[in-house]
Amino acid sequence: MISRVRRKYLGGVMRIALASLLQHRLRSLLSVVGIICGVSAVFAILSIGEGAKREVLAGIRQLGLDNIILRRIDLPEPQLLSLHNRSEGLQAADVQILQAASPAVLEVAYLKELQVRVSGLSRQITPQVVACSSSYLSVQGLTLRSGRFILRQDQQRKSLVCVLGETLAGRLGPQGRVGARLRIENQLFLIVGIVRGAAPVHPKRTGMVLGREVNEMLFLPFGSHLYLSRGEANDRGEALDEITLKLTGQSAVEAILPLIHRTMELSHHGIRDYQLIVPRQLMLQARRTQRIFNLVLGSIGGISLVVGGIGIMNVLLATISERTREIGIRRAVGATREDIIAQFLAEAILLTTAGGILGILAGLVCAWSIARFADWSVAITLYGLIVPLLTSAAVGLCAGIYPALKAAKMDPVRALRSA
Amino acid sequence: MCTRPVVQVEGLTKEYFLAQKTVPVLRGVDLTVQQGDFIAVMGASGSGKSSLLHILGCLDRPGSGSYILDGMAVSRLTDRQLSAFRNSYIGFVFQEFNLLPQATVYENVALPFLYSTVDPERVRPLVRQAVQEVGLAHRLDHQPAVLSGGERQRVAIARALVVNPKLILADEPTGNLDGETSREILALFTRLHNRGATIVLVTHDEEVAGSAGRVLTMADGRLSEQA
Repeated sequence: MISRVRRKYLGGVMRIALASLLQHRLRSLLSVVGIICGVSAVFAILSIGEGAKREVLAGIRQLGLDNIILRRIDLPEPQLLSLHNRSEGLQAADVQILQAASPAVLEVAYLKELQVRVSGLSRQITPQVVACSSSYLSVQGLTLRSGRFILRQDQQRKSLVCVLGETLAGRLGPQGRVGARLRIENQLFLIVGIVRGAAPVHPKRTGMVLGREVNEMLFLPFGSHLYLSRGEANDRGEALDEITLKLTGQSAVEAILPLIHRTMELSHHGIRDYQLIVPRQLMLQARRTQRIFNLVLGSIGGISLVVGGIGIMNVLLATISERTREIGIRRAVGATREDIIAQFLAEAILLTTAGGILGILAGLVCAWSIARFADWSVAITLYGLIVPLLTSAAVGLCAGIYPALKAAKMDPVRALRSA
Repeated sequence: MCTRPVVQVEGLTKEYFLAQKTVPVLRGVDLTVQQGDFIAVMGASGSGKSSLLHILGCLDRPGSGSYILDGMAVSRLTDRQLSAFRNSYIGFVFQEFNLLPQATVYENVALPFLYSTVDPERVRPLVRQAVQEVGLAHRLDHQPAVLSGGERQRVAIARALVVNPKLILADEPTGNLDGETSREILALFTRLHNRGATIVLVTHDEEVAGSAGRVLTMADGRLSEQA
């Protein structure tokens, strides 16, 4: 608890510091330009970095941090022909093997992308049609808006039912209600449910789209797609595009990964016709990258702060020789050396903190312009506000300490006699 | 009456080092100032009057000899203690007024309280009273730049008075003022003296010294009673 006397003292010191800074407005402003630049750079970098991080992490999180995803890779044609007998890409058989691989595998979902035409839709509506397993709902964390999802029985009976993503259903209007029928190629499918999932994030700078637009998708039971007349649908009809393993938890990911690798290698005879996506590893990697990004760019901003600090020190040193008499007067009425130090430190810190605030404002404008014109995402965090502010105050402290000591060491009699 | 003297100086010396040469300024000064004294110290410029005043005011330390201020041996005090003495025991009035140009009259007079432990509640009435005493109550919010020389010196006197010091030290307080204004300032000092203030005033002006109760002369670094 600060006593009243102490509080009055601090208030007095601050008021004097402010008054003397305001007396030389232009000089104060110019001296603090370096700090403004440094802080705005650090602030903008932190905001942009944070925005990028959030975007990437949201994208990764959408895949499910306790999931492991296998995606089909299209091998080049000649390689495909020569390998064909040994491996045929992701297959229903893989699903069985993976399911049995470890008790840490809770559920397995799989999916096949279909190139089929849905009749009676306007041209703007081109849903992505997939055939998937009944487990897709829980593995992807989708929520039912109405009706039901594809059931195991649908798969077994190859029922002609389908489920719509929420956005797609909305766009279809009455055509997209539960109970309505959609014509896909040569078959009529009964709409039995509408689902919603997290919208995927499109990190603009990386260009990678990790998740699927589940809200724009049309789901058929895996198996029913074999009824579709399109030749393409029947060709390699059992081949899968994606298998997702849901594990018991994030901690299981690292433990089970080598096992998955080995299992897949064995069943595919060492042919890498699949890609293993581990969201948890992607996230860890993204965080590491982000940290390096922040460190490197933050250091560049930091250099600017150091240069700004030197500018402040220079101005303070000049000020002291100009204010020698003031120092003498203060000493004569009872100021101790510590009081003089406090006085000059207060000025330095006030100056740089004001610079820090201006810098943050400039950084906000910067970040906003980048978000607006470069279409990057920026995020402002409390951390991003506090770090540059504290740094600028610390720069003031460092830049002010030498001039303050110099002022305090002055002989009061000589100080009073100076011109 | 057996009161303790405010100032008791014996065998005080002070020398300065200039260009590797030692220049003695005070060569054994003896001085006793009693409570309520009004003493003028006269002497040619360079005779050491100001040096004596600075030592009396705890701004400088004596070379040798003893200085006892209100019963305390000043030569042994630390910088912090000297500052505290200056703050509450001493009031300075300078030839060049020495006001802070960016501060108002009020802030200038209140300056000693920034470095004191006086209850903030009491500061405002004390400052008002001191400013009233020097007749500048209507100028509280003005900056020194808009005041006349005489008014500035009154502000400086108010600043010296405000802590109710044991000793008021004035170094050529009328040196920068014209005759009429000088007389007003001297009248102010006389009034303070009549109210019990203890004043040591340094001057080379006979007329100024005339208003003091006791006149001492400084010559060759020694102090002597004027005949």
